Amino acid sequence: MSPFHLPSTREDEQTIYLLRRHWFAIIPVIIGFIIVLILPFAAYAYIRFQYPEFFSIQSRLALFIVGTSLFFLYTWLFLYQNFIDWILDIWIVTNYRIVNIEQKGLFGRTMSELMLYNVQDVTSEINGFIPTMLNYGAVRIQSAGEASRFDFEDIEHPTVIAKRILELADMRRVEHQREGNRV
Amino acid sequence: MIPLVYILLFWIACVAIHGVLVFITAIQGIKNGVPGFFTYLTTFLFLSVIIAVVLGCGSYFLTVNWKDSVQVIPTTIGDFFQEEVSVVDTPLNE
Repeated sequence: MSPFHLPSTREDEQTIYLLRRHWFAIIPVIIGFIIVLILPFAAYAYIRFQYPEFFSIQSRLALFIVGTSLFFLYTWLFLYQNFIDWILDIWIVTNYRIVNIEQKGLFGRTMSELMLYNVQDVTSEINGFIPTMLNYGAVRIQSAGEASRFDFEDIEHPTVIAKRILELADMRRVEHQREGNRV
Repeated sequence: MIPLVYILLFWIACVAIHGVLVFITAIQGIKNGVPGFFTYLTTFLFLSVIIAVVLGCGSYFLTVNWKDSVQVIPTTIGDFFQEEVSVVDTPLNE
């Protein structure tokens, strides 16, 4: 990704990481929705098996199709909204700053940035069996002079990324001090 | 007994509301997503399934006699699932 997507980009700004949530984080949601989406078909099969004559009356079948199609359409919509919630969480690390873009529901969107020279502490966390096996987890960034912190959730290789952010922050801090001394 | 046409109108109203929500969701996905193949592919897949379901239901609904009525709330569960038995006139002493 080019820095084109970032607001007020510097000329020499380079994107180091474009991070999204790990694919496994959406799997439990998708499995849950697939089970829900199967329910109307299971209900149809059950009624068909238990009461073979039930759908011989056209009005009943029409009513069933009206109900199940609406159920399917709205469930599909909620699945896609969950997918959007997952895919639109993006963290961008450049050689100057960290940009945090988070989708909260359909209409909530937060965008914040943190200059690398303000980074004070970076922690990586991998909790659980599957995250350990697939090597994904959280990176928590504490900034100097700010109460809030940046949390990268469910990202791949959190340890490597935390280490790289610390290196970048150290480099940027040195350059920032040098620039300050010049002024 | 409720006329089936009311059920059809209810379905059309729900699909219309769904259409508005789909439009908002798809716009959000395209506008805020990183422009690229994956964003367009997932939006296309999402819309394709909806169009397939609506067209599939629509084509079935063309075959339904909407002048019929349907008992939505059964008086008892047994009545609702009771099989209809057609009575055929047959001569008793043949």
